[in-house]
Amino acid sequence: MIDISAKTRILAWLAAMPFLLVVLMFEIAPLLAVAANSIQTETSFSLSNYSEILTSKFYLGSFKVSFLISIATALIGLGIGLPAAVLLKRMPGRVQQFVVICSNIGANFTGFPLAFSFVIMLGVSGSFTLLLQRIGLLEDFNIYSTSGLVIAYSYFQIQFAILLVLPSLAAITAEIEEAAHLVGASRFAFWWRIGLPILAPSLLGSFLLLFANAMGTYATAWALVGGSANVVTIRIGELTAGDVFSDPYLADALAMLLVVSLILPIVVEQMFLRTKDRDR
Amino acid sequence: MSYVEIRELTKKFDTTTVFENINLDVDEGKICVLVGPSGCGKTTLLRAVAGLTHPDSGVIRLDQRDVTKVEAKNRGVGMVFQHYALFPNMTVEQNLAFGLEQKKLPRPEIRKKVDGVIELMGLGPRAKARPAALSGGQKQRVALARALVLEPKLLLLDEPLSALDAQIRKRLRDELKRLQHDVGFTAIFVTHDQEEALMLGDQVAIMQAGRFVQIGAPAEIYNRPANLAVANFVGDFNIFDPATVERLFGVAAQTSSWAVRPEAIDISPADRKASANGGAVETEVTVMAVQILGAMVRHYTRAQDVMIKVDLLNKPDQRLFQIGEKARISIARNAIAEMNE
Ligand SMILES: Nc1ncnc2c1ncn2[C@@H]1O[C@H](COP(=O)(O)OP(=O)(O)O)[C@@H](O)[C@H]1O
Ligand SMILES: [Mg+2]
Repeated sequence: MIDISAKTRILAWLAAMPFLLVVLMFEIAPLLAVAANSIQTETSFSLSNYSEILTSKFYLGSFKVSFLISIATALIGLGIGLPAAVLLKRMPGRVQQFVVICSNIGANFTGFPLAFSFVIMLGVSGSFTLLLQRIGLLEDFNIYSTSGLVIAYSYFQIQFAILLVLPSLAAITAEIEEAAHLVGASRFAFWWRIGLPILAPSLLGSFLLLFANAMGTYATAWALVGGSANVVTIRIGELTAGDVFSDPYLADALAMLLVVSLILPIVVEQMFLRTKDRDR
Repeated sequence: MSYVEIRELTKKFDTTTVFENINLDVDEGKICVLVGPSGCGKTTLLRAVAGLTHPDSGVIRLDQRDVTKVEAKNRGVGMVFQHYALFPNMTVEQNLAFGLEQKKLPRPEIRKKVDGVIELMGLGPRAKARPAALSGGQKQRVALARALVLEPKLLLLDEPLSALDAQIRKRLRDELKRLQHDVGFTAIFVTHDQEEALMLGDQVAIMQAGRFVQIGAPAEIYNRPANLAVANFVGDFNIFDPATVERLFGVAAQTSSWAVRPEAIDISPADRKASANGGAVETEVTVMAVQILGAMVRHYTRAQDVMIKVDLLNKPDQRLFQIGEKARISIARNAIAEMNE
């Protein structure tokens, strides 16, 4: 490493100040406020919010559903996004650019517009539902259900996955693939022994981001199924904004548990990658 | 019948023709060096031989077998890429073993072959390292080992040394020559470095805009360039067009240009009598500059309005000429390469 003089280091800190300030004001401070609120009730400080959640079938169930949807859609996202990205890499540059732009839009096409599109396409009398029923591929399908949520989430998860995976594919050059082919590897052998191992760390990272993305999705779920979906974000929304169940402190405790469930995997991943780096 | 035969091979990309109806022969156990400017089609030809790209027409035969339509991995061809193309997730050993594993050889045999090549290439201390931890020279040695361990019928090397710095490059070049002597592989080696070409090649094929302009032994290429482009590639010739030949040396009715190496020209003091060598041509020059090039001393001389480079061996007792000194140069007839293009 080149030795950076003290002066440059101070300059670097100064330059980073505005950014750090934003992080402090809009991420750290709210998080601390949420953490502080989460150990309060209407009357006193206590951990009762947490004990309420951890003993409630209802709230634990919301975590379970959120986890299942997030894991499922992260896997679907990678399962389809990775092969799509690999194919895309073989296309001319202009096609790649076009798809990246579309995926960028698609990955951010969430909330009410997405839910609305899905209702039109896949709702009880949606055009696609009717079409599938007509040709007999579909008996009954309910977009307003957990599997409906999985399909709706998959829409942006797949495109998000393409965006996440595409840059890491640069590590797999045509030369490496040809070298493997020339020493006798089949396509399968190449991907199993070389391609996927090369991508493994970035696939793991992408999975965690997709997982977090799904865990944090609120508007799409709410717009599609309203309060009837038992996912964590909807429970939080209900407790903060709802007029019947309002309990902001309990909502904050739920939010803290959500944050922990997102940070924990990332910490584990970082530790895992660090030990792997040391092995080299 | 040659060991490697390329016959009337044509390759086009859309509208651009990379090469058309080209022919090349390589004998068993020999290195054929392909040289030529960037973009002339060397890589494309190599990839066609490897089976990584499909020619539009023509035939490629390897050891009596027509491999034109054979899949790359079944041709028995090994390839070394300019940027190594090692498998980054595998150690050196694993890189070498991978191809043997694909062939489903028994474990002990794989072990034996890998160890043998690791020993041969002096890679022992790095056998457990991953590519990221290797220097450029080591990486290229692993790439070469990975190809050799499969005992290919033909080894293809696409500018394997050009990403390395000069010293490593020289070392690896010498090593390659030694290896070829010991192992006796047949290879097509692409480079754009003339020294590399002349030193490594049993045969040098000079390619230009998708054609071979000259194919021959290094000495032949070096001493008898077929045209101006070859002369320029092997470097440093004095080129005299027919009119200049007549003006300087009084040799008339020439249709071809002459190419003469600087070290093939004799230079002597102006007052010395013309050499008795009957066939030689002579002319008067003035020394304009003198430059030490190491083993050679380069004299830039002028005859009328023509610059002529003359090299003398830098021996302790060599008489060097002074700037401004008048001198006489003489060129033996057998030192003149006549070029028709
Ligand atoms: N895949 C390809 N598609 C289109 N043109 C190509 C392709 N590969 C090579 N070419 C063209 O073929 C010519 C020869 O290229 P190449 O064989 O790489 O030359 P060299 O290796 O001698 O530098 C170049 O003009 C190059 O632009
Ligand atoms: Mg090339």
